[in-house]
Amino acid sequence: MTIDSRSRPRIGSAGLGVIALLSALSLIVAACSSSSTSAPTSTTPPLSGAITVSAASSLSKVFTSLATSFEAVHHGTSLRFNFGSSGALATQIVEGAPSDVFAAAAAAPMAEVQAAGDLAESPTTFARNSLEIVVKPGNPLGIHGLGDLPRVHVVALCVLTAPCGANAAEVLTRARVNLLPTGVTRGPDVDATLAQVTTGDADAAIVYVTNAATVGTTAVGVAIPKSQNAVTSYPIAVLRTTSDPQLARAWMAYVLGPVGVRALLQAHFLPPS
Amino acid sequence: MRAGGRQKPPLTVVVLGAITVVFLALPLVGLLLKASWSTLWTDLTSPVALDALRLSLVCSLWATGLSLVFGLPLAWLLARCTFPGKRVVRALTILPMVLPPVVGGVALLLAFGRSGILGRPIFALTGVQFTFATAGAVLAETFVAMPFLIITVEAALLGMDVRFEDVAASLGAGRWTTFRRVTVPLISSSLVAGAALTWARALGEFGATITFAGNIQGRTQTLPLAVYLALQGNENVAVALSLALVGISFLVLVALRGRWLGAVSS
Repeated sequence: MTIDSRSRPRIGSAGLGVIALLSALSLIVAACSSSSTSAPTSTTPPLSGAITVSAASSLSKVFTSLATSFEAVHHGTSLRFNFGSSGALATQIVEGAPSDVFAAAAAAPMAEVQAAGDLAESPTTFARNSLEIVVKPGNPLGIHGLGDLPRVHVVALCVLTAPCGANAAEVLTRARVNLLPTGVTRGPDVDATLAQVTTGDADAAIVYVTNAATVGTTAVGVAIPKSQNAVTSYPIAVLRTTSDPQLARAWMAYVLGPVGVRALLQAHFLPPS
Repeated sequence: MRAGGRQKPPLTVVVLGAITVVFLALPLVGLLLKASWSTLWTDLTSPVALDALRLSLVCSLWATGLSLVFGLPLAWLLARCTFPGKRVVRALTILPMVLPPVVGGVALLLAFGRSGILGRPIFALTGVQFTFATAGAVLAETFVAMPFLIITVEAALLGMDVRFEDVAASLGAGRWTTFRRVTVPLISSSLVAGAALTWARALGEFGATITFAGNIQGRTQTLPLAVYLALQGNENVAVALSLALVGISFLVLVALRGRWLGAVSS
């Protein structure tokens, strides 16, 4: 187990590039052979209008930057985001909140929306993620793994209804680590949970590897070994009630396409399979 | 004041008033319709719900008490004295009302967090930490709710006839006696209304509390936090808790209005 913010064990950038390239190639091939839509070519009628994308808050950084390049490619389109915990988003969608695309941080919230008959099609997995511990800069409490968490004053975890919370519970159970309820503060989503360490007074938090990669100097990541870690997949789907299926599909294709894959890998997401 | 009491109210006013009542009441009706009445009791008596209920009452009452102790003197100063920077102070007291509570929570962290301006020396000297403690939840609620007390009481002090105070003073009453026996009785309805508003705001506080004090069951997880979390997974519990929250505040506010304000207005 290593404790290092910058050089935590991870695929090197060259390896990352190769993976990105391969995934991109495979997706282009897949796109060419299976579907005629997609790809922003000049022959298709120009897209316009605005759609709302409900997405897990762990996607906020990648999706926001992808949206900027998407809108630059397709002038006149505009993407609005509704970021939150996947569980809360699923509830909103089932309750009838207008939305065009749903991207969740786990299969369960997507299944909930699908069971309610709110999906236009079956979801597609576009990324995976695993968990990491983050601690205060310099790791003053010397936390080297899950086993050190019980002696910490307060650990920030996501609520159990959010995938990051459910996965953290699974990871802790697997490592036979028992945290007292009074030593756990629960953030409504992964960003709020991380903020308890970066701006708040929590000594440690369990968040996604992708969140841990964004902390800069405000925190330090402590890897969770593969044998203890849990991997979550991110499904995406166009919603049945979409007001603009063409634009919604174009956005989904963009996320699944080479630009999306590259951005996701750069943000330390794992490839879909 | 009551000259127009017998007059028939204008139709437009009645219609607009009725729309307002429907607008305010309809969401509550929605809650009532959504409630799962058969499981209401078990939902409300679960350990999480009871912890949140107890904590909410404790924290909101503390916040109201602290607002009275520290807000009342400031309201008096603002109403009765002139001092440099008074406008700035007055704006400052209202600021927490317009600040998004989550931002208020971050600001509180910067001031009272373990590495905050005041929080760091306090923690270093005494080991007292506000974050993740019930005291922190009280602090967050006080920060957000106290302005309601200050502006209500200040307005009452400005609106009251100062000659009563002058007469009491001319008859030999000291400042404290005048305040206690003349001023407070004269502004009592506003004082109670301000305290009730402060308490209600503290009871419903969410953003500053979860950001600053965290969300720990039995320690900082007040009713609104518990409701928000339950909303994601267990909607029945969320609605039950919301009903409890609304019910408690409604009862208290109706009772207060009847006892203190009703005598004046009806």
